[in-house]
Amino acid sequence: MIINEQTEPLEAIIVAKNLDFFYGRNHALKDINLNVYHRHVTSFIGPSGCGKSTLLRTMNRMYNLYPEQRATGELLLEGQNILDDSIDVNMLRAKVGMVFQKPTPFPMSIYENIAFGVRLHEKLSKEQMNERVEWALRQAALWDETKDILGQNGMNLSGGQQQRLCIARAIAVKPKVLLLDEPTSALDPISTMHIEELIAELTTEFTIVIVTHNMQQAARISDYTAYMYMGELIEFGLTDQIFIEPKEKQTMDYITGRFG
Amino acid sequence: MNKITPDHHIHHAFDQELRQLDAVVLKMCDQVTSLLQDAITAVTTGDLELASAVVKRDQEIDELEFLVKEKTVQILALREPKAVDLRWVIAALESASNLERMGDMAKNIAKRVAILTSFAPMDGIAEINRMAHMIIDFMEKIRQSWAEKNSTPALEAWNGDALVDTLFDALFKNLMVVMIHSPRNITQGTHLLFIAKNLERIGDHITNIAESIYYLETGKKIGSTRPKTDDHYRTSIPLSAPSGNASGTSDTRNCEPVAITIPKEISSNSK
Repeated sequence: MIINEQTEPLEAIIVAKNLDFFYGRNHALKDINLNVYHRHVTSFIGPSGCGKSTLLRTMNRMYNLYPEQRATGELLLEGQNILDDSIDVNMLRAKVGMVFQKPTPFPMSIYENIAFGVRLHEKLSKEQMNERVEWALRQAALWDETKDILGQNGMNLSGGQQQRLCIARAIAVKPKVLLLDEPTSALDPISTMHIEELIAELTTEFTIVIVTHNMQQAARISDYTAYMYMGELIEFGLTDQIFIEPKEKQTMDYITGRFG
Repeated sequence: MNKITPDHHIHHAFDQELRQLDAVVLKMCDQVTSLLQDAITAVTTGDLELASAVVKRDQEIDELEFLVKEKTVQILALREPKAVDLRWVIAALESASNLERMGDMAKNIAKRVAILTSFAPMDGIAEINRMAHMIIDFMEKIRQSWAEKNSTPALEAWNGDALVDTLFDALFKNLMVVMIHSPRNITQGTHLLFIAKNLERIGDHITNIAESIYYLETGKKIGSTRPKTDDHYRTSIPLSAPSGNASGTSDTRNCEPVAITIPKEISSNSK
């Protein structure tokens, strides 16, 4: 695995050290060593089955839902190994939020979609909650479109609006890291552009890790890109280096659309 | 380093598009080389018909440059090339632009043949011929580099441009001396100076193409600084230099060009 040169020292909020992951007997991640930098966007790219979504889901222990799945090695969030049994998974998921491929609003009002998760972690007054809902919707660039219909069902929004609602819901609990698993693959191009613009704006407060099949999207929105193949991290570096001058032939073949 | 080829894209049509782009750039290389060869032959032989053909053929090179532009825009818009493919199309666009300028300069050389033939031959033609052949040799290296996507021959041309500059400097000084000695040579001398300057500029365009090919191959700028030897803009021949003989021939035995120093920033801006 090649790590391209860094231009400046950066604070790594997530550090993977010798990380392995198993779906039963299937060795899905192999000795991953990777830094995710604070308030930057990191993209994971690679063909289907390469392990990019697995790596993303390891970062908030989504795999805990399935007993046959396990991770070994170290995955440090601000220095603390989140793979430890002692970790409170609910607290971890408040720090590391996640948005999925298909918009998944709760079947409740727009307001309650945001407030629901906040109530699990914080006790806020009505006024404070109103402020938090507005803040989250503004962060997700959805406030202007929804401020007059906060009582309406979130499921009635368009696909792009629903996805922004999910992002608002994820950031409402003020996580450190936001994990996005192909967040625009079910959206039209204009909605996709809105989400991409939103991602750029969110980096002022959050660290973002995104899995995408759209390489141009990775090139457009991420600061760092990791190319994965067959469970291995082949190359990690600054996005412009990866897309202009990748060091590894495997990366070159993938991003130029050649069969290696 | 892996050999750079247009092949093995999952979209086979993209392989074909890169090959077509390459073919146009190589055709431009061939046509510019041929145009320059013919322009210099016309200068050295006074062949007006050949000179006229060169002027007309430059149009074909302009059309090929536009074709490269069209194909590049099409590939950028439809294929969104990345990494080596992106560098490939950018290098093709840059090279075509340089080749088009080189064609213009060959045409410019050919246009001067008519006036040169109306005067008796003078010294300098042999040096111009020598410069031209050096440049044609560099053109062939550039072509080879493009065809093979291997910058090694192009780097030889890049380094060799210093020799072209040296020849130009010597010719510049000698022609000045000849013109001072024999003002009746000023017309031919001035046209020969422009021809020499055109050749020197063609050499500069060759170095630009070499840099594009190096970038295509490596993704990097050439690490070293290009050797430069031209300092003709420092040259001044005092009018008090001994005059030539009465026949107006170019006897320069007692008249060495005098170099004067001009501020460095002017010399560096002159390139």
